[in-house]
Amino acid sequence: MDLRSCKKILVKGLQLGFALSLVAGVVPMKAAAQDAEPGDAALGKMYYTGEKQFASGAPPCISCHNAGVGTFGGGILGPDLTNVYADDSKNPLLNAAWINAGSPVMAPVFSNRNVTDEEVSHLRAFFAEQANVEAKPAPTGIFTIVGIGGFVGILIIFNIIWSGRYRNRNRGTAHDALWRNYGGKGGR
Amino acid sequence: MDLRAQLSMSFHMDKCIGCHTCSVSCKNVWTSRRGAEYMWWNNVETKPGAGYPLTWEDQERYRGGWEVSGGNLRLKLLKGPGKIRTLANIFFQPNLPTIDDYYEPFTYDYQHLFNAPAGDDQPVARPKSLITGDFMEKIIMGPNWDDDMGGSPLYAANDPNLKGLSESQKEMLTKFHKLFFFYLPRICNHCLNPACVASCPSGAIYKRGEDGIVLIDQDTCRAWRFCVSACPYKKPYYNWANGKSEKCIFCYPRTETGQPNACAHACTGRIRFVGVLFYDADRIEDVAKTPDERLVDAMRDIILDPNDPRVIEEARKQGIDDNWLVAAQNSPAYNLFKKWRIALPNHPEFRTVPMNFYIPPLSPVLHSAKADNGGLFDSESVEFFNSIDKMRVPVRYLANLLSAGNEQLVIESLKKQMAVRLWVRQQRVGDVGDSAAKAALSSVGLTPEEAFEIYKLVSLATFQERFVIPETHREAQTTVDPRTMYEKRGTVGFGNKRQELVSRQW
Repeated sequence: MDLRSCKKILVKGLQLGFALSLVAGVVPMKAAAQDAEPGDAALGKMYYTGEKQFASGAPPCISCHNAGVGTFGGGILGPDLTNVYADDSKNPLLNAAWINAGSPVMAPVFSNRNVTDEEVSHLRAFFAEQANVEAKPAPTGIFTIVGIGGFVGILIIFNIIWSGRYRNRNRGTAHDALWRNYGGKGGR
Repeated sequence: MDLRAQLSMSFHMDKCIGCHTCSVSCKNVWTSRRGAEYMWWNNVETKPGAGYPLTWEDQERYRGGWEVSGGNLRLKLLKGPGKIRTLANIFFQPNLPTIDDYYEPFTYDYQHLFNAPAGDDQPVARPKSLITGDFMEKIIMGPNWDDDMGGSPLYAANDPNLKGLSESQKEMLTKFHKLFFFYLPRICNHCLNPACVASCPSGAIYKRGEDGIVLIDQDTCRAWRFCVSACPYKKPYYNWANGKSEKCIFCYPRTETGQPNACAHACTGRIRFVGVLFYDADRIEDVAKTPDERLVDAMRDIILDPNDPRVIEEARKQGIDDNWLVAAQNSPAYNLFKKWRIALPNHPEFRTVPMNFYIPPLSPVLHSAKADNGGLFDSESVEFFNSIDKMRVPVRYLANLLSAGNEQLVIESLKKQMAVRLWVRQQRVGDVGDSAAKAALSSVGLTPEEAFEIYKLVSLATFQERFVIPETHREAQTTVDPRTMYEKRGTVGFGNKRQELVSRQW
């Protein structure tokens, strides 16, 4: 593959990504504001980010889910929760019983460390508020760029530290060593 | 006691003529494949010489084998605690031999001899690399490059075994009347304490309990090549075509059916003996830690006497078949190494407890002149063994090669061989004198019966006496169902493991 076709693919990819982010930005605007929740949204956010731990020690939501909070967003193992409150099919699942036992992925984690109804009510308030905010996809692109940059950086560092490692290996082949002992110039 | 059986090969170096028939048979049977062209599972080296790969005995360069450090055994290659050095070197091993340390395998463009257009000159077959397929300007290395160059100042003079020799002893390299060299045939030693097994990060190498053969599992091997570096004898090789390491398999498909190995079977000089040894696996570590001067004695200790009733009982308890017991009792390896103490291991100081043994060569004493006039041999001397010290190959050199520097063991072996020769000469020719021959025997602690047995084994032995290899009763074991043996052919071994085989139930 020559450089030009690489560039073409790269440009196509960027265009596609831009279009997707536009669509993702427009969709949540349709979400209607929901009824007020009894919980405290600020407390819910703290539970979500892990700033405040669940009483049972269960992991915070952000470890697996994104909800448009924080520079790097959340994990990408679970689905995006930004619009979970506005989504009528998902909204009923936001309760302690389902979180603790309902999902095959979450149940093994949360069945041992249950979240309580009260904690979930704060989370519901947080998600209700979050549904009004413009959704922002998890910026995995930054991870990729930082990752590639770091990898290249490490390669450069290795190259400097171990420069000439192969050439310096035992000062050449065994044949070269024999010739050195013999007083000659080399095997070739 | 944890009794195991071991197949062991012994080599009578006096009889090796360096014809390489063993190497070629091995190559034809096992390594005539793509990626394996440079491998010689069996090779024959001229000693003194640099060997194959070049200077393999120089562990300062290759760092193979074990060393004792703070009372513990550790691989020389992996100096340092735990697995840190393995990890640090996993993508680049500074001590790995390169293809230049072996040689670039080549063939010749023979077709050109037939297809060349008519011209003024005779067509020639140019050398062609078996790796790149390109013509080679010049062949600069081969697997026996310093063959018959026992006096070469480039190769022989760099032999690591010359360490500790005096200047006058080193004259065997330079002075014509002292010049001598001999041949060292080498296969994998199938060690009791194999460094290759210990070094493998994938755990792909194993030593079989039933016959002691060390094998590389071709499905588990991940080509880290630590075995190549760690083996002090440089007998595992990396196959660049299929990305796996390979080594001598002691021809197990042949030995399992009671046939001798391809190399041993083909040997024109009949220098090789194959037999069974019983050893005590509980004591391997202690033996490998023994100081250099007692190392060979410790190795002799770990080999068990197959005629001892307690050993027989233990062997039966371990499920060893009767035919293996009988083979162990008639084993040439046991007789040569332990009973008669004339065979010695190759470089025991690498501490892998190698299980192939060599009878050191009695080099000729041709230069008959008074010793005080600078000659090697005084024909008027009445001492039986006066010529041992005057031998062309210094005892020191043989001790460096075969007994971790212990000269007494080499002298014992040489004197016994000499005594047997004197005694048999007295029987056949009668010019030694009966009392002199008997005195020679008794001075090395041999009875006439033993002397006759040694003579019979090393000089007259038949095929069945040289190769006492019991059949392995595979049909009685559950690992392979003989009914499906042929279905497996071509589906396991070199190449990908087929999924249906993994899930199939035998």
